[in-house]
Amino acid sequence: MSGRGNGATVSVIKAIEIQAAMTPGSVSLAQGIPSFDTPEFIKRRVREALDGGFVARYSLTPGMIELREAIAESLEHQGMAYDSRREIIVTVGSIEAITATLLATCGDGDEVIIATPSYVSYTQAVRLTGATPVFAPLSEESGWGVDVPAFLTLLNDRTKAIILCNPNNPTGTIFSKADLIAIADAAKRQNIVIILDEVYRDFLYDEDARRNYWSLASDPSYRDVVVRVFSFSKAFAMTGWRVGYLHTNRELAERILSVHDNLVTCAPVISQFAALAALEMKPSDWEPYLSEYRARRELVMKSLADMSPWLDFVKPSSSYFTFPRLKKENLKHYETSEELTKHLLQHEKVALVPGSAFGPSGEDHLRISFSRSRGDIIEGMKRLHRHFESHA
Amino acid sequence: MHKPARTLLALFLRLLTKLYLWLHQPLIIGVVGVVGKAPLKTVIAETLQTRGRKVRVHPKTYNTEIGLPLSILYVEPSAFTFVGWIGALAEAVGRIVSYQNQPDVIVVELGISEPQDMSVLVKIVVPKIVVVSEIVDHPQSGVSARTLADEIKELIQQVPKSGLILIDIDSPYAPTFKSTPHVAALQTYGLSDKADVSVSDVSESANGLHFKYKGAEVTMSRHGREFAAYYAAAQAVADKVVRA
Repeated sequence: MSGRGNGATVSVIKAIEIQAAMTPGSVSLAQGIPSFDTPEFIKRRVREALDGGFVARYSLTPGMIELREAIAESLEHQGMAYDSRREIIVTVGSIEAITATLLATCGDGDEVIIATPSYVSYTQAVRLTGATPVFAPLSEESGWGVDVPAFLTLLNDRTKAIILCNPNNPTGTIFSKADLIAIADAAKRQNIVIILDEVYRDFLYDEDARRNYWSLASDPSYRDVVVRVFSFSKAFAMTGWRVGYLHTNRELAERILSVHDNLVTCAPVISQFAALAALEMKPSDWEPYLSEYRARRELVMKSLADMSPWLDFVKPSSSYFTFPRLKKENLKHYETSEELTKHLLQHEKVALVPGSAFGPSGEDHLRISFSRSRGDIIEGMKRLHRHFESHA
Repeated sequence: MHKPARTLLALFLRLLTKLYLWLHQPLIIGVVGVVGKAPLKTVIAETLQTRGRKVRVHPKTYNTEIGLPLSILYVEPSAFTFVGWIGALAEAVGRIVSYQNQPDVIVVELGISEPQDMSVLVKIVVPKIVVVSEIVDHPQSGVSARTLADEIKELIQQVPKSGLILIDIDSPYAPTFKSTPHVAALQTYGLSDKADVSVSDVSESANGLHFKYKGAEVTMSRHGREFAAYYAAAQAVADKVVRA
């Protein structure tokens, strides 16, 4: 059978989770799933909507107007102004927002620049459109920042979109305002859409991170090219609810809406009610969670420091991932990150994601998620350490 | 929550709200409609603040039989458990007996999605100023716009003589509302020059909305032409509040 889906595969991350689920006694630090349950006040609002008979019907295709108004208000507090009726679309998670945007803007013969290492599914989504992913390596030497001159050399007449995840998955990097502006200025000149995935924007662990983080979407001069994507999955522990949103200028929103409509009709209404409640979360409600993630980050950093003969790492400023580099020279029998993670799952029963899943620059790295519980993190890191000690 | 417990809670909250309103006499502004309540509420509150009024708006969208009292009393249960509610009620009592930091004005939403919703809400409070936003078929309850407009008519009839009702001139229900018996002053707002309170020359740029109000240039860093109409409504509200 032919079709665009022929080239698509289940992402490596999900494949590993499937394998881990079938491996008794395994600990997974692979997929980025918060260990927390969705907060009670969100669940309560959903119960009310469910009992009130409000969730059975389709919402408007771009999403419940009440939710879009709340999103618009939330954006205003972040220094971004978008029209709730025409410029905001509620989607089935951020990946649907990204895929719908790509389908609306790219096709056969086009190219999409993806920073690497970066989220696994971007490449697959690009291929679904018939476009070609072009990888722009991030610079590990500079803490996984963008090499702007090298990045800009990749832009040409075939480039239709750029995908930037900021803060970045898997590296936890926060891209600088200067770098973002340099890319955006070039994109604007060539009418290239920038898909800005900011799903980890709430995970800013220290003062430097909060000071350095800046969104391209907050500068109105880039409205014509920026599609910003956000998800309720991470900060609100709602990965299973499948709800996110995008916002962009009117014309682009209209094109994306047509694709969104034909893909899903609308985001699940029950999840939209959850999103509405989530938007009412105060900063003080989030602080305990952030504090716990910060503590988990320290746990992982300490473990990695103990594994310094075998791993180098950059402490992530954001997200809940770290992306250590394997010191191949000190590892017997090491071949590839994928082989290593297979071995780790089979023999040590710990699931991690191979760096190669995140693009060419990811090879010889591992992604470790600290979204899981402290118990899982401690045990998982212990098993990883045990492997290195026995294979050094 | 079990129905008897909910009924009891609603009664307590209503009594506390009435006590609070009697003691402190804040001016209550109510925004009602299906679409646009939240942004209209925000623009009204911001406008009143720029005119020097002490305004309070609850950050949560509390606009039902339980929510409206919480919104007025400015409390929120720490958890939706017995203990959480006891805490909220205690906080409400504290707010009632305190004379510090009380607002002049409280802006609330009145949420209607079914018939009879308004009859419950007006037992809690009848706002002195009512602003009606857009009315459409309720997308979640499926109740028709006409039915919801009938609910709003019930509110219009009860706004006191010293109050003000503002309706969207572009609403298909504007004629219906105008002809509903009312004792308060009733004005229309919107983008049309036929409105009692209007803006003109509306345009949008990357930086937001630009328009004229009473001859003066105004820029709002917001997107969506409806915000220009909300601005007009908010100005009318503020003029009324200042005169009061």
